[in-house]
Amino acid sequence: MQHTLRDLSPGQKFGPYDISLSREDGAAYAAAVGDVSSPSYSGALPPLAMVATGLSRLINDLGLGAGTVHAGQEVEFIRPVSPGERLTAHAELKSNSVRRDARFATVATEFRDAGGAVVAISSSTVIVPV
Amino acid sequence: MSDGTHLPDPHPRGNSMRLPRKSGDLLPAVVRHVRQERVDAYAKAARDFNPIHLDEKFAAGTQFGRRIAHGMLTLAFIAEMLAMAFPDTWHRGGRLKVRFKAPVFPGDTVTAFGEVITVTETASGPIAECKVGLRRPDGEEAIVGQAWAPLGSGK
Repeated sequence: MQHTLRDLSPGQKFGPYDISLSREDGAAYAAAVGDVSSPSYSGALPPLAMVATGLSRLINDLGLGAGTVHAGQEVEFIRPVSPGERLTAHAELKSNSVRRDARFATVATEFRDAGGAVVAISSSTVIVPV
Repeated sequence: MSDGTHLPDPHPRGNSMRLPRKSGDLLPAVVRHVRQERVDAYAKAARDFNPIHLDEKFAAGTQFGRRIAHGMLTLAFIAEMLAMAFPDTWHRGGRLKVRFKAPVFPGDTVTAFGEVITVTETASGPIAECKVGLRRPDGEEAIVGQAWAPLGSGK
């Protein structure tokens, strides 16, 4: 479901989004960022790949304008995620306000595994032109 | 020019590589050249097709005047540095908090840097708190922030 950020209040929930990255997806991400010589993560996905994919889903769902830029980011990794593992991302709008000529919004996201355990936490702040 | 490298300083490579474990230790810097091709590849991999990163005409009309790299792409260089510095623990309890202060443009060569500020003993073991950032070629810090990494039993 596509939302319009200006109409949303803190507490608004998004998702859950199904997220699953294959070994090939992880390799494409690693190649794109140039992370080809860091530790192998013991066969797990690059930790930030999952968060980046979840953020992209959220941006699309929020219907954010094309000029949206990233202002801040927090992440916490609880455990490694394996290629092909099915996760769900549960997001919640934490703040949404207009200052000067821009809207600032912060969305917190939990990534949960099939058993419901949280494997990563993310908080993203974006600036949207108004 | 190479697309990127890990600077050998300040820690020697190989089996004798010394990992940051105490206040004042530097994290192994990551230097990466950000070409538009890298931005395009990242857009596909992360499925983030915001035209501010991809469309030259659109980007020309924004506050930046030209295309910029995805914030999450440039953050990946810092995450990579942390994974190298804390290879056994970063993906099991690592935490990162940053602000994106300035854009990175295609063509820039950027450097991810970091330093252990304090080590705190907790019930689950020692945690290293680090200052981290990403520096542009003009010296401006594009990203600034902090990271926390468990040191595990190998402190």
